[in-house]
Amino acid sequence: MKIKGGFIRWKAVVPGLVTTALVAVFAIFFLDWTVEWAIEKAGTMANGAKVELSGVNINYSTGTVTLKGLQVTDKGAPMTNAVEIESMKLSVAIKPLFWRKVIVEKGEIIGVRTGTPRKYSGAIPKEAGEEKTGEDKAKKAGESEPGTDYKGKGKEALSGMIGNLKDQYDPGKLKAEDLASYRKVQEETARVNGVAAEWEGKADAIKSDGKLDEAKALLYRIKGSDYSGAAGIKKAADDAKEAQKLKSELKQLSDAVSSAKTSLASEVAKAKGAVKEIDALKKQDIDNAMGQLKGGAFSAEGLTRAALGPEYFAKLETALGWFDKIRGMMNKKGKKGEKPAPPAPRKGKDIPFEFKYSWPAFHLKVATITGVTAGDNPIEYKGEIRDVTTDPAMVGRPIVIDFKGGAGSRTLILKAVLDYTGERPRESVAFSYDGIALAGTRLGDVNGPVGIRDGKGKADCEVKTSGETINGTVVFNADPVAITHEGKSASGTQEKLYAVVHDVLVGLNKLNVTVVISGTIKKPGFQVKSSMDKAFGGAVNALMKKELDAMRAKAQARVNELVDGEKGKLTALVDGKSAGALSKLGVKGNSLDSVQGSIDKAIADLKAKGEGAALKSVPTQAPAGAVKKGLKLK
Amino acid sequence: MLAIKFMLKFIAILNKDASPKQIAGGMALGSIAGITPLLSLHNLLVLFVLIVLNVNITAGILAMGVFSAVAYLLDPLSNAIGYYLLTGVPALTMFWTLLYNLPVVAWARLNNTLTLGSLVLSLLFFWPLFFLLWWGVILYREKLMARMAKLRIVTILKSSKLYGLYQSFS
Repeated sequence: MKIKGGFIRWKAVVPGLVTTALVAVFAIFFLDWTVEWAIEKAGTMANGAKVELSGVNINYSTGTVTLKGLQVTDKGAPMTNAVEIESMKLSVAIKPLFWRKVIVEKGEIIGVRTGTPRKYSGAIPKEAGEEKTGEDKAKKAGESEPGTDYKGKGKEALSGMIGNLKDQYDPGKLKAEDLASYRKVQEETARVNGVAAEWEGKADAIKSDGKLDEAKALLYRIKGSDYSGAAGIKKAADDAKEAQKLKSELKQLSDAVSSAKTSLASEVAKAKGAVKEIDALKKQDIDNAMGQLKGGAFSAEGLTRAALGPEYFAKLETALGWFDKIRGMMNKKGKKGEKPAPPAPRKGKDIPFEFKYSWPAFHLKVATITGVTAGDNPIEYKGEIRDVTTDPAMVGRPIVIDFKGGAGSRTLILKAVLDYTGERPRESVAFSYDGIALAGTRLGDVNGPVGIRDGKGKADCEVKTSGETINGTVVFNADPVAITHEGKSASGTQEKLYAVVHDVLVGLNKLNVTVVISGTIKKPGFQVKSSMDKAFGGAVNALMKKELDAMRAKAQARVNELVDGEKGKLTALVDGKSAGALSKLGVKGNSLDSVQGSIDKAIADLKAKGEGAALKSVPTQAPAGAVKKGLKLK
Repeated sequence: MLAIKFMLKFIAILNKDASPKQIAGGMALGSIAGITPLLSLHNLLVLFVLIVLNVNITAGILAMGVFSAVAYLLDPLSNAIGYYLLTGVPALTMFWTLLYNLPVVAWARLNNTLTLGSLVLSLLFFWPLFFLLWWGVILYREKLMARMAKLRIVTILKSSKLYGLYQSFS
């Protein structure tokens, strides 16, 4: 079948061009909508909760883009916006747009507000099996780690203190393998068993029996020999020489026995030292068991965290998590000549090539910011933000955010420098807010909600990062302050304890909280120091001293029960094994010493006999030296 | 409703309204727009070619939808091809750099691994797909069309009011 009317629809060329052009115009005409959709989609992905715009207006003649009604949902509170911006007017350079580069020469960000309510939830539904966000993971990890307390250890602490101590911290539940002292006993027993065979071997290795028999035979022969006459002189000299040689050999054996005894004594001393060390470890084990009690359930820090409320720590962690998110948005350029990393299987990746202009994909050169803080008495602030870009290395300058505000005696200062120009990213944020109205602030829960009835506060925050490490402090001072605590009813010991906690909380008229931030950006750790610590610590310790002492005694008994039996076995093993070897060495040493004494005596006798025989056989005029020369005795 | 109407139109085209070459051409062109990301600059050119060449536009639009689904399966392969061409062939670097530096062309995002890979893949598939579809339409008309017409579902569709309405307008 042939195509009717030829290969090209000539009549359709003009309508085709018109249609294509219309599609292009249509795309440009609806670019506002496309930009809005792209910002909302990318923002939502980055934030983990809805990011919405009420409108985008693009003015092609002036090259300005106006984003209106930006709402960034607080992921932790979906009915609240973390940030809401009335409008953002951006003057975009036209020429770079032809190369798909968005260079904002100047921006004007008006009406920034934080913590504004939303009309509907900004949460995004989680797909089944979806990977948890960094914050979720941190929360999960934080449940069991000090420094990232989300569940309020103080609450748990209080319940631990009250009544169910035995269930939660029963020393009877201490396991032998968790004790350092028990592990040391096992280790030392294995070592002693290994070296004990060596000890026996050392004693057996000294073969003295042959030499002792030889010596005894010589002594017997000397005793029965006749050393008279000239032949007697020679015989006495020969026997004395042999006896001397034997004595020297026995001396070597004797020295070996002494050395073995010294070495064995040292080994035994080491084993006995280890037994003493086990006693020290037992004490340490008891301290550790009690430390868990104090560090976990009874810690003043735990109570302070509970009183302050876990959500503040979660918020702080979320805020710190933005460093990681911002870093993720930056171009991860490899070194020059280095091949870019491959893309994810279903996600395309833009491969950069050499470009004739120094334009990153996005660069906001400078924008002024005006806004107000949240709360009933907001503070107006203004400032600017510089060099927000997808390629800081190309721009060569860090992102700088700087703003100040004030109302009456209240002041607000923020200075942030986010430097991604080098290989090692660095951030530094300094924030100060003086005059925070605290009335009505809800804090945590310690057997009932804790809040602030009245007071003013100041928060100073300094955080610095370098690479993955993060360090900083958040200092919060409230002076004066009045704290409320609606404690629930209780009875018995519980009542006493709740009363102590309640008294400490409502009695505070100053509050100082310092949160020391350390660790890494992905897993920051928080150490909390507070003026509440001392008050909690003193009051709780006084109340709990008796219980703690009883717990210590129980812990000690349990450790003794687990370790002492094994320790006794070890002592017996050391004594038993060393005694056998020492005894063998002792017997050998004594025999050698005794025979050496007999040989000495025999040599002296031979000397005397030899000299007597010589006197009898030589002429009276012969020089005495000739006799001595002939004998050659020592 | 629109989808059924569109399907009926396509069946009519398949049966007699257009030549096998026109149907195959339309579908092969539509496959380019389907396999590559739809909102790409090069698809404006595909649209223009689809209108200007004497191919069946309905078949082209249908192919866009069908191949968009196929594209999901092909994405990893497209991505790998794009990555190789952009980073693994030094001889092409100068060419990509040239394109990257041309105004407007940058909007085609040919430096994107998925866009380039899928475009190359769809162009490689173009002629084999064209001939396969051409042969397929001929085979269909010769051997299957008569049998298909007797199928119960087709009979029901043909006896429906919608088909009558469609026939009255077409």
